[in-house]
Amino acid sequence: MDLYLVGFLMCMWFSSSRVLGGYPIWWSLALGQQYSSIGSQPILCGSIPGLVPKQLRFCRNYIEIMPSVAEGVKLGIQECQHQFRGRRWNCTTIKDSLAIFGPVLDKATRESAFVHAIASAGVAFAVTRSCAEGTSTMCGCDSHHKGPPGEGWKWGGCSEDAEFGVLVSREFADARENRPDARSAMNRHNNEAGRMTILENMHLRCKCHGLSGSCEVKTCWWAQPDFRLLGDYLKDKYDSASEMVVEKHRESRGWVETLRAKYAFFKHPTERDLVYYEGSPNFCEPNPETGSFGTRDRACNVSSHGIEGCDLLCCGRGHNTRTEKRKEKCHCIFHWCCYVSCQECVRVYDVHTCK
Amino acid sequence: MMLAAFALLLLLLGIGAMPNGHWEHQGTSRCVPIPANMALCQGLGYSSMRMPNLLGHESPAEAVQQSTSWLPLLARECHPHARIFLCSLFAPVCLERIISPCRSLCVSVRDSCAPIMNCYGYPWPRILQCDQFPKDHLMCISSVANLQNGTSNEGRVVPRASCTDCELEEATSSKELLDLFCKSDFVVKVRLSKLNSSSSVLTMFFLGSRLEVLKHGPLLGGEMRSRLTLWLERDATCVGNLTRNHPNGGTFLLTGTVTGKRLLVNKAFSWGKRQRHLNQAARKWKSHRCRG
Repeated sequence: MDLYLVGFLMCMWFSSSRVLGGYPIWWSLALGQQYSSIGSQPILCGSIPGLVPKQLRFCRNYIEIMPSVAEGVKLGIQECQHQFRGRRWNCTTIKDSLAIFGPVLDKATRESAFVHAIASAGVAFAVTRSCAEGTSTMCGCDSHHKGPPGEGWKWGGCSEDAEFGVLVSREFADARENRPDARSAMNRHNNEAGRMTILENMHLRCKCHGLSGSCEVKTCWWAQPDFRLLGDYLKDKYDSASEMVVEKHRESRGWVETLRAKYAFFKHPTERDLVYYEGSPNFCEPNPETGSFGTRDRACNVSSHGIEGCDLLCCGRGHNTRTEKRKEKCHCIFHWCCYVSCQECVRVYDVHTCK
Repeated sequence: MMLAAFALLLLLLGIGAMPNGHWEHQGTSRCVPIPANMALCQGLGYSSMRMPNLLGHESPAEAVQQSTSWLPLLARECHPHARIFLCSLFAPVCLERIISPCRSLCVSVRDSCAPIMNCYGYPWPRILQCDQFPKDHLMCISSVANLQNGTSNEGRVVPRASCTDCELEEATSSKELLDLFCKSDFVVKVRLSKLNSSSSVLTMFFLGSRLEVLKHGPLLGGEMRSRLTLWLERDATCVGNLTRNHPNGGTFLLTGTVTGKRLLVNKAFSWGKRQRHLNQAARKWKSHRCRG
């Protein structure tokens, strides 16, 4: 046990030498398949890298919620890669690295703001969903139905307890963001912005019951939106993120850094907006120091003038074109009862990649 | 120091072995067996269904519960493909892609069954609006091409809608009874007994061991029992009408029509010791010749 602890501490030292203090290493939960299923393998709290003591205690006390936390981070990363699929920085993860995004998120950029928000929202979302599905015994449906039933319907189903999911996300994700520096303040703000997105988009979902599907009885419950909708919302927030400047104040506990809006004539950020205070690197060329992979060999859209078009995505370097033959199913027919038969067709595609 | 380095090596190897998982999207759709108590969708030729189904039911229990209210409508034989249409929504076929009913199938079933539903005071429900289904193509369940191969013996004319349901009749004369026997496809004397454990099964009654068939009609000898068992399971309205004044069951004379593989009871009589006309008609029926 002591030897294991020594090894773990050496591992921590090894990792932290490459990563600044602001990096949430516990995001690597998303990559470990063994963390995601509680049935196949138990979660070992001590083997999760990057946990601060408060997170370690949380993990041990609420071990059955941890699979949802891991699932939530994975959900956030998937959504990030979808939202940025046509961008120069496309949310690439690094294989076999605890700093799964590399040094690109070391700086207090708007990319870092988005990832913090989407990961925090993912954790809250996944925990809330697993509570409603009944996979955990310490949480369930929200029985305090907010508001009286409307005309012609009554409460039913399982109202999702998003407050609980947000609470878990806040307890776990913000546990390591209690330093007095500006980066910690920024991370706390963006984490909370991600969580607020869920609470503000809860909606009533209803079902009709009664004889022959008529709406004799209609039951409704509170439900989270689709996570894609949350991703779209936060992507808009990323595009309109507020740039800040760092201010230092002397307080009783020492120097404390806070954030102030850089441009006074712009709208001040609310608690739902994303904030950053450092510029993004150039993502056109590969740069191991900044974590940029460059856009060489990226697929681009030749007919688009937008950011995913070849002109912008390739940073003016031009693009190559090749043809690709793909076998696809076509002329599918459903036969009663019951199977689908298809023919196989070959279609030719033009594939454009950046030079 | 050597042991510490070894532990570190193990730890690093363990961490390095973490797979960089492909982000396969785990949809919430899954295949489940069609529950045995889902009477609506038994014997259609497939045994597993997609969950959630096409009506938004999240669990098999919910789908079963909501599907039972459609059983009385089907017992009226409003359309030969009504069950296939309803089950394509309640218990959709579990394949790689979603197979929904074609719009033409929905329109055909609706036009035949909506008048029957109106008899009971129910409009065609919003969840079954036909314009939500795709116009006919080869990847949806249509009413003509795809079903002819599988269930070809239901090609008969769609029966006309009727508001009448089976009722317990009072026999007034043996002559009227004999006329009814002639017009009916089948005549059978059965005993219905109350089931003790009625919590799990749909039907409250079961068929007695002895069947006295006065008229077989198009049904073969062994088919009568299986058809009556099916009727007992599915025509809850008719069974309820017969047993309203006989909560523990009794002996009944059933008459009705046979459509394809379905048996429909139109008129029934309670068989008792004081039913003089029933006994007369039964005896006369052995030598009776129907006119026309």
